[in-house]
Amino acid sequence: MKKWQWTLISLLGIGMIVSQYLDFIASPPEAQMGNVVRILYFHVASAIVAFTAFGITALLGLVFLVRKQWIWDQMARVSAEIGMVYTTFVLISGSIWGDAVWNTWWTWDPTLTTTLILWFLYLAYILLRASITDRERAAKVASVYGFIAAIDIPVIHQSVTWWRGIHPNVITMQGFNMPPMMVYTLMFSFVVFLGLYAVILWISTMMAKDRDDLNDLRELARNALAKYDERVGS
Amino acid sequence: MSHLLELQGIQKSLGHRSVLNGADLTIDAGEIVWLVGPNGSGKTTLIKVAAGMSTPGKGTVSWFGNRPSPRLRARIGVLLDASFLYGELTAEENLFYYARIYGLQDARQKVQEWLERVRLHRDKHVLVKAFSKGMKQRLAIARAFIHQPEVLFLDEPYDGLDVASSQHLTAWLKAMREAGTGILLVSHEDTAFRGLSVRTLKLSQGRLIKGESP
Amino acid sequence: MNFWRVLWSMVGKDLRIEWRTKQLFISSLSFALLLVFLMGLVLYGSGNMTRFADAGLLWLLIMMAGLFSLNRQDDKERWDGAIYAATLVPTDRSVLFYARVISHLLFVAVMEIVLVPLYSVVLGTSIQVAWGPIILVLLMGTIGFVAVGAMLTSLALTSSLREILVPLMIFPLSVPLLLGAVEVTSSILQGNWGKGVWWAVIGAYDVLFLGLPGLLYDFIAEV
Repeated sequence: MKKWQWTLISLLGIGMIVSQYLDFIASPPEAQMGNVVRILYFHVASAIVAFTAFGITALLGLVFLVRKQWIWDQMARVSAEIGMVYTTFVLISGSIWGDAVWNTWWTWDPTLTTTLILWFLYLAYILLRASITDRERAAKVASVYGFIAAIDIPVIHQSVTWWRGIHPNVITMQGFNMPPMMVYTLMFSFVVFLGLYAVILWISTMMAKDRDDLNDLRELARNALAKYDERVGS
Repeated sequence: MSHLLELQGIQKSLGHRSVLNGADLTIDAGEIVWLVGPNGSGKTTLIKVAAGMSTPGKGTVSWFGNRPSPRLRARIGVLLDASFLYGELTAEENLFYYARIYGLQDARQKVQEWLERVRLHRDKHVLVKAFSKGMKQRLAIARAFIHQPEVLFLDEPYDGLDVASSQHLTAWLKAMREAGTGILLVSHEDTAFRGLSVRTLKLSQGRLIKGESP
Repeated sequence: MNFWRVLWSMVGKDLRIEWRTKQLFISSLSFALLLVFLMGLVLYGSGNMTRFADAGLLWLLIMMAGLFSLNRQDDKERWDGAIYAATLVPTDRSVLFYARVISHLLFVAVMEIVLVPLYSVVLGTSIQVAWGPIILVLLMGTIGFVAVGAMLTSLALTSSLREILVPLMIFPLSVPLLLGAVEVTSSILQGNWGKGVWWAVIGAYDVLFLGLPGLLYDFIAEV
């Protein structure tokens, strides 16, 4: 890796340590919830990353369909995998939060429901890719599916929200005022989390690319060996 | 004049195995290309790519000098390992279905004609799921030939055929060749079409090289 | 026109096979009837259901039966690779998608004719209050569901996990459609037409999933 890349990664590392400090020490406990509020920095930031990751997957899928360059497909694939991990974080941290604050591990809140559906949608994305041998076909199919799933997510969220409009409201965010320090901490963790996502995306894409290149090379070597055997044999 | 079929630098990977690796091929009117190569060398994959059923990773396919298009698909015929037939339909219904798909003017007559040619006219009301391997293969041949394609892709057409049917098939190939059809033939047999003069190509390490004539 | 000729040939072929064997119909319907029976049994009639439960169960039932038959229909096309012939049709490949939507829609609609009245009898819901709106919502909801299903079976065409992937994709993707259909059906059972916005959701699904695959199909229809 080049020097500027190391510099950026080191900066991100420092940022993450600062973020931990802000999350756990510098920011005040919330008036009613107390220290539980600290889950929020992690939870909301993970959610932002998850949604960004899936958006990027859909976008890069389209780019791949148009440009037909493997790098976009590799990046889209990796982004969906990262998104999946972060969605899992969101669901788990959300549950812990829910238990502490609302006294229930799960509730059919629109955002929660959408997140769960998102998790299923992208589980299918990953399985779909993994279960198709033809590389070109897997890439195309996944791009189309990724795009359709992504445009469906706002629709799902909206419909779940309307749906809930007719049920009694369990959860509200009303009366939840954040002092400036909490807002800063939250914003800072967004930046750090998105930075981490970018780094993981970049490194994993390089890895995916190397893995594919390595396989291509292995195939070349295999072909060359077979050719050699044939000549020696004949 | 443009080639009936032209493949340039075709690459195709399945999973992490690169099957085709810069394959080039041209077929002209009235030419039979016999494609040989060991198992797993990518002969079927080449046919799928050439017939537009599968997209190559790199390289271009052209039919009659143009990019493959829906309209041009009416002018090619494909016979693969799978017969593309419906088990719950009779032999006649299967052929009629494909004849309709290709929009043949005299569909009914053509269907009867081909049923007789492949000697299935007595079994035309039998459901295909009750057919033997050889009968299915004969019907599949009729299915691939019925719209008189100008380019034919045949993957092991002699598979499961008895001696008489093999001779018939060779005779049809000869007739079609004379009518100007270009044929890409994959077959591990060479005795069956001994009477035909063919250009042999060998698929080796994902490329096509000149092979010995039978 | 090539497209229409191929489309009707395909639909005609599906109907002919189904008419001949009735396998798909009998197996899917028996499965659905069993579900109705089990629902009636565990719920002990509709007296114990909340407002959305009867409409919700009805739609889940339709979707399960529809999914079951979708898989069976796919098997038939795979018997000896006939599904690959669809890549060779001398017209736009999306014809396969539309043919599947039409034949599957006809199929599920016929199933609903048996299923819905039976459901209303077994679970004691009163669908006879408004036949017109009920039929309309059933039709619109089924079109959307069938379209999503036909698109996803094409996507998963060569996937080795097809049987599990199609349900895994179809239900999350159809959540708004399911909610809309349940909400509207439930309102109709209460004696009104339901909110316009839910009709719009169902309509939007129909339009979107009938149109979108037509545009994207050439990318995905191959083997």
